[in-house]
Amino acid sequence: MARVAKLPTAGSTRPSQHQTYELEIAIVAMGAVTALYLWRIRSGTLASSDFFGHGLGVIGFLLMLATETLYSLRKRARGRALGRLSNWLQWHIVMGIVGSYMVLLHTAWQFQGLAGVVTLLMAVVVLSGFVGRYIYTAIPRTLDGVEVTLDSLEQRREAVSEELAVLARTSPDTASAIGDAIVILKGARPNVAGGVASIFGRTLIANRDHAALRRAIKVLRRLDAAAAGRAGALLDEQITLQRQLGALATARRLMSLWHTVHVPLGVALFVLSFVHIGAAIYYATLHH
Amino acid sequence: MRHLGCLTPFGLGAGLVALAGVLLAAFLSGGSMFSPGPLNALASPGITYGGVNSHAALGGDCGACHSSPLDGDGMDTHCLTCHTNIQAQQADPTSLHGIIPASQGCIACHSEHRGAAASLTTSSMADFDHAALGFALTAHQTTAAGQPFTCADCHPGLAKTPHPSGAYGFTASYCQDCHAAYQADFVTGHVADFGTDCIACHDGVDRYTGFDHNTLAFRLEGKHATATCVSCHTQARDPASLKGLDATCLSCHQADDVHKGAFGPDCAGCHSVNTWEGATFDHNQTAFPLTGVHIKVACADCHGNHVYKGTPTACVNCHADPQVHLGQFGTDCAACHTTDTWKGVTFNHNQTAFPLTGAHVTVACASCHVNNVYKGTPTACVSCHADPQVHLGQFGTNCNACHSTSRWTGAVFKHTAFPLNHGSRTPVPCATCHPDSSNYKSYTCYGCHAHTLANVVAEHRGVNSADLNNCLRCH
Repeated sequence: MARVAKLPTAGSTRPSQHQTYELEIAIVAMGAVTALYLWRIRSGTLASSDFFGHGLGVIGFLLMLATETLYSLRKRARGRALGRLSNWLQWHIVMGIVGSYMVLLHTAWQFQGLAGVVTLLMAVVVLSGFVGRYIYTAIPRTLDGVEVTLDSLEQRREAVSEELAVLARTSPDTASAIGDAIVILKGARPNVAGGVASIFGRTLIANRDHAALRRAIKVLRRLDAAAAGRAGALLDEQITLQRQLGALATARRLMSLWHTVHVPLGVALFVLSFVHIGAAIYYATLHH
Repeated sequence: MRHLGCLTPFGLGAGLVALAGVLLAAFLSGGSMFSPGPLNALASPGITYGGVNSHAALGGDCGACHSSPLDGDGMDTHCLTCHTNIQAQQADPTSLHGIIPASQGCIACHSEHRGAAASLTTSSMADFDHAALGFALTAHQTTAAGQPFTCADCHPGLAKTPHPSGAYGFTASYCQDCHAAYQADFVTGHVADFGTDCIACHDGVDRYTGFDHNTLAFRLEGKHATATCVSCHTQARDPASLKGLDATCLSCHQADDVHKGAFGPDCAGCHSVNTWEGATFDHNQTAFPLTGVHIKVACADCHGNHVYKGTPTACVNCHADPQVHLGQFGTDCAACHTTDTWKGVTFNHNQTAFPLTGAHVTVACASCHVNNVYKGTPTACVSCHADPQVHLGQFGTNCNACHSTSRWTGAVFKHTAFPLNHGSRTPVPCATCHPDSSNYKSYTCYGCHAHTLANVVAEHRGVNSADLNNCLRCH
């Protein structure tokens, strides 16, 4: 069961989400590897079995192996000062992408026999990883990457609603503006129900919600700036919490299902990889 | 129960299934499932090694090349077991594989599993010490078109797929084919000069493109600039032998020396490098300076057959004694003539046995030398001057005894044995003693001495009366 945490209580200031840069880092690293690869093959094609080719394969595999084992261990090392889980996930993704890319280059674009099967399986695992990452981000988490509980989300939604009500009571104009904004939001968001579409289509849904929020905020401009800003922020959080609450159950089910598929694929990949490595050592090293 | 990472039931199951799948595939396909790529399938017609004509024909028999590490023999042993031709090359130090250390191993240059049509050779020229075969690739890095050289550029057999037997063979015609493509004139001449065995001279290091001979002590100017290398470097067979060439003119122009060495080895003393013609020889530095008309005379007029040394300087060597001389003046023309003209002869008669003095100086030559006969002209006066009537034949033919060459008059006769200074202190008229002027041989002493015949007879008793008038006989 995944680790969960509680959200801050209403009235508190929410710190900004901890930003990670796994894709940026991965792209830069892949660019560097690509440059090195192109420099190496400038005078001919690369052989998987030469020093550079083997180097790509060995380093790439070690990166993949390390990212799998280390991240898995970190997830189970609760409460220890080993850094943010989100940072570990960031490097788990970077090493997984870059490692698999290096292994792909190591193939020298030959996909025969066991090596070809390993490459294919690796591609499947990497793609699966991307899917898993997308599902993973559908589950609300704390700044440290720890899942929040359903109760916490409910409490937070209630707290936001209460604060909106308090804000509406400050003046008739404020109540009127907030009421109009809520009407606009409800009209633009006919449903916020969960389902698989709420996970894989959440970007579209979020865009729809943001468009509705922008229209709602326009009616808040007749308030003073402080009241309008606070009301807009609360409405924004409210519709976000509504999306998360609607998709949370589905996201957790999908995440569990993904683990069920991804882990065996990964295990199979590493088993075949070790066989491939053993065969390479046997045929291409010991006999020389 | 919490599982560590991948050790879920599904994970463990997937691992076991993957392992079982590998074992099953290995059982069904042999070792081919571990093959990283297709084996080379290029077969040379009629050539088999180890019973197969390509590696692909080995199929999944990995052990044909990959033996068990327990056997102790590496893959090289397996390679050579089939490739007996390479074994033979390794024993030949002049062959490709003969120069490669056996310790280097086949894998250093060759690879497999790169595709059915992929080359088995992976080493580049940069890795291979081609110089060990006697020809370095120093000057063969890029082609005339600027492309990197490939092995097949010089070993055309390698361009064929599969490679024919002896694909690494080489003949010098490959050199000519390439070089003639962009420097045909040079190659044609070079082959004509040195032959077709390029490797005999070239080791791949020498390269003379852009070579400037003028940076050397012997600059190439004039006609030298267009001469072929072999014109001078006739014995050059390698870069080292191009050096140290004798720089004297005759070392190359011995055959051109029409002077036969007469003027020494320094052609440049008279000739320029542009042409043999127009030599600037200073004849005046010789023992025979050229003056007068001689300056304009062609060299060959005196120096026939380009023989310049030892040419005799006597006039007659060139100027035969003219008919007009009738062989009378010898061969020294300069004694009378100048080199400016034959005319204006300045004969010095005084150098002869008959110097001209007095009236002789103004006498026309022909007065004495009749019919241009100059030699043997008698020097006796009478040969020109007949004894005059006035002498009545009494004074002989030696005019010079009494006359000078200035005039006939004023002759000074030196009296004969009879002294004229006896008995008188003043000259005695000739008629005193020679009363007969027509005959100065007759004389009489009675003109001075008061002799009478009677007295003389009386005084000279016993004397022959015929001698009584010939006083000088006794007195």
